[in-house]
Amino acid sequence: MSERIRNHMDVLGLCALLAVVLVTYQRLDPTLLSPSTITILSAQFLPLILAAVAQTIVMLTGGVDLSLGPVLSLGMAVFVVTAADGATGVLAAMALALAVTVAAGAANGALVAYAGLPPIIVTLAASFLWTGVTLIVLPQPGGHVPAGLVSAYNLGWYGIALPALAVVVALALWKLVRTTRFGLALYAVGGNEHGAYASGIDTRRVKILAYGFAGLFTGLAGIGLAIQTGSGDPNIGAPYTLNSIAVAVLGGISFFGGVGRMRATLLGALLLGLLTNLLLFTGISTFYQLILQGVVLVVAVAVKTLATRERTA
Amino acid sequence: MTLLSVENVSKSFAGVRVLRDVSFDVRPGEVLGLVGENGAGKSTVLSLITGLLAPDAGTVRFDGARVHSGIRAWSPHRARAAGIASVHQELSLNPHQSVAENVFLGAWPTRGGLVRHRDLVARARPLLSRVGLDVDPLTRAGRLPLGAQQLVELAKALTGDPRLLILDEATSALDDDQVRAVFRVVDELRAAGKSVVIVTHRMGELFAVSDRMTVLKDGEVVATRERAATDHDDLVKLMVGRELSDMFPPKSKDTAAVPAEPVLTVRGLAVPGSCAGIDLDLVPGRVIGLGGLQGQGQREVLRALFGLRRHSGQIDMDGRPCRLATPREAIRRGIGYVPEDRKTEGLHIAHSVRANLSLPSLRALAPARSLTTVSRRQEARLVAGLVDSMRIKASSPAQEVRRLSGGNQQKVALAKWLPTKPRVLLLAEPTRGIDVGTKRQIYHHLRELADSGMAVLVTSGDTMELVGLCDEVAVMYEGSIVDRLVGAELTEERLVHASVVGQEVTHV
Repeated sequence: MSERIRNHMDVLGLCALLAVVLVTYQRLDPTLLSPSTITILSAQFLPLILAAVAQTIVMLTGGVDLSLGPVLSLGMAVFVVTAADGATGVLAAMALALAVTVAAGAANGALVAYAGLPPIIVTLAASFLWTGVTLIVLPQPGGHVPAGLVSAYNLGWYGIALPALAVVVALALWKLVRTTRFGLALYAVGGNEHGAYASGIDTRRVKILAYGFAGLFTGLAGIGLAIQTGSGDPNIGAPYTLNSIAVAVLGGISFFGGVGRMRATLLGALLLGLLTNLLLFTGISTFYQLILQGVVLVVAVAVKTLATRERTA
Repeated sequence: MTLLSVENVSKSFAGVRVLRDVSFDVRPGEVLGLVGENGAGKSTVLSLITGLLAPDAGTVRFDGARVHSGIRAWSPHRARAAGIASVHQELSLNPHQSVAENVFLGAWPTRGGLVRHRDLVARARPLLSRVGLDVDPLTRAGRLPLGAQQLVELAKALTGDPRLLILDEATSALDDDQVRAVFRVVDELRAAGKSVVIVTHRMGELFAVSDRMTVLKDGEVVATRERAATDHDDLVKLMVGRELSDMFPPKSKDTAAVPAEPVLTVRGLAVPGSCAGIDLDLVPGRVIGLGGLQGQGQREVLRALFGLRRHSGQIDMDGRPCRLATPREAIRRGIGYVPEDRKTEGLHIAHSVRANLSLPSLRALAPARSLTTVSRRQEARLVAGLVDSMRIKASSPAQEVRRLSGGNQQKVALAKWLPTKPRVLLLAEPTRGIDVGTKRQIYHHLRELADSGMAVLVTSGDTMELVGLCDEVAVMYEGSIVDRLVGAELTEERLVHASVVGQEVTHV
């Protein structure tokens, strides 16, 4: 088999599954491909997609980010507390929120890289810390998001699905980063840290940058969530920690680092999001949805593990 | 005129001298061979040159400048920038990235800040063909066979157009064609006035490329010879030849007599990718050694016999076929294993001496058919007995094993099996990283255990140890036993010769 074909094998299974889900969805909701449905669905999926992108970046270094949910809430809180009406007011609030989340991510990275602490501990501690800080910034749900922005985002803006556009721009940004030396070094450090160090790569800098980028995408997810819901909620981010890990794992991102691609994460997020909606249509209780979500995750990973094992044997 | 000079360098690890007053130099356009037994200090000296370690005393000069002085520490990064490239036995590749990405690892060429894969591929191709490697540069490095990966390392080392190339056992995984490709590169470098330092255990290779050879023994330079002024025998003599004194206990007396019934008979043992066709007879009362260079499959033989590696072949215990698929089965049949990596496989280093020593005996320590709780009193008695008989130096049985010295850790790893009364004891590198006094104690313990009717199988990279301790040594080379040395044949010269020359010896 040629390497060029083999390079795309990783997403074939996910694409097939996604196709099945899409066809079923189309049956139940024929408006699936209409602009308004795309706008609504992409607004609904954007936070999970961007959170999973952030989680993927950290996992590629061989780490895991347990502070993702709280940092997402923090970004949302800073945004809704500072946002003023008008383009400049909104952009300034976005910039501030992103600066805060990037700093929170880079702090994780610095502790992992320089203090040599295990990522799981560092980000666990950070998750408590940022939950507290978020509650100081925004003690209860509320805050302000300009109404015009909320309706343009959720209902379409001159026929353009803004959330979908945001996802495309975010992924294009990642694609660009991935093509820089940093992008390649990220995979090198995740795949063989000592080898990367012995080859002259500044492994610490790579880790700090990686966690910083994760903070950036987490902040974008928080801002997206604020605009979608029209207000802020200091506790809304919590489930995104585990959901983002689930999506990354579904996309085949290795817990040991250095293996996996962002497009698979994207497919994983779409799959999980659509599946949840699909179950809502069928009217099954959310209890069973959770059970099914767990089963899907284990089966997907088991199938992949068994398939890979066969190839290496 | 010299490119690199190492001057009176010394280095110790945890109080153990590994290099003493080592001096040698490398001239431009010269290939220097560095020879010595395992543990002679070759890798340490190379690490000083490549910036992985700093010397305790002495200087290293590259191009006339002292490298370990100044404000910025010498590092792999700086060494590479100065023109020193190295290829080691252990790979530094990232198995998940493509060959092209690996060739330029850490120094990817960019255009406008971005790394273009087309550029990578185009620039990797000539380097790959220079090292005689015909692979798609987009192949993931981990998919290549080991030898090809090692050639990718070589291509990677050539990217910066180095002035000094260090090959540390870089040919160990290569076949003859690939070795020729490496030597072609070495010749090209020499012709271009560049220098090469090569470390290899294979004598033939050494004589094929080196201009001069420096022999290290026990961390000291014994001699430096021009190629024309020396031969295999001369070098082997320089490498070995130490006093044995009373380091080792007397060997079993009935070596020449008809051996007792073997307790474990191994026929045609094979571990895919590591060894094949291994025949061994483990006899009560005898210490058998598995010798050879590092990584010739010795370790896998032991791991297979202890059920840690999937294997095929016929294994009989007391003449009856037996399956050794898991360590649990092996232990039940009376096999004990003291692994090479004692900190992960041999011991629970964060646990107490007591917990480590009693772990294999928990079944016996739990009073029969009652609630299977471990009797603390019996456990204490068992542990006290072992600490006493093995002379384990610990502040108390409650002390964590990781606080013990390496020698005492090894004694714990060995002692824990004794209460289970094993009939076969497997030991991998039993004295690696252990001081001389404890080594001697361990040798005597092993001989006592053999005399009490145990069959002992030992692997070691230390030829003196095998010669001094074992009744018989099977020499392995590339996964097969190529020679068996018993009695008067068991000398260091014979062992080293069989180890480095490998198969040739059987055809003589």
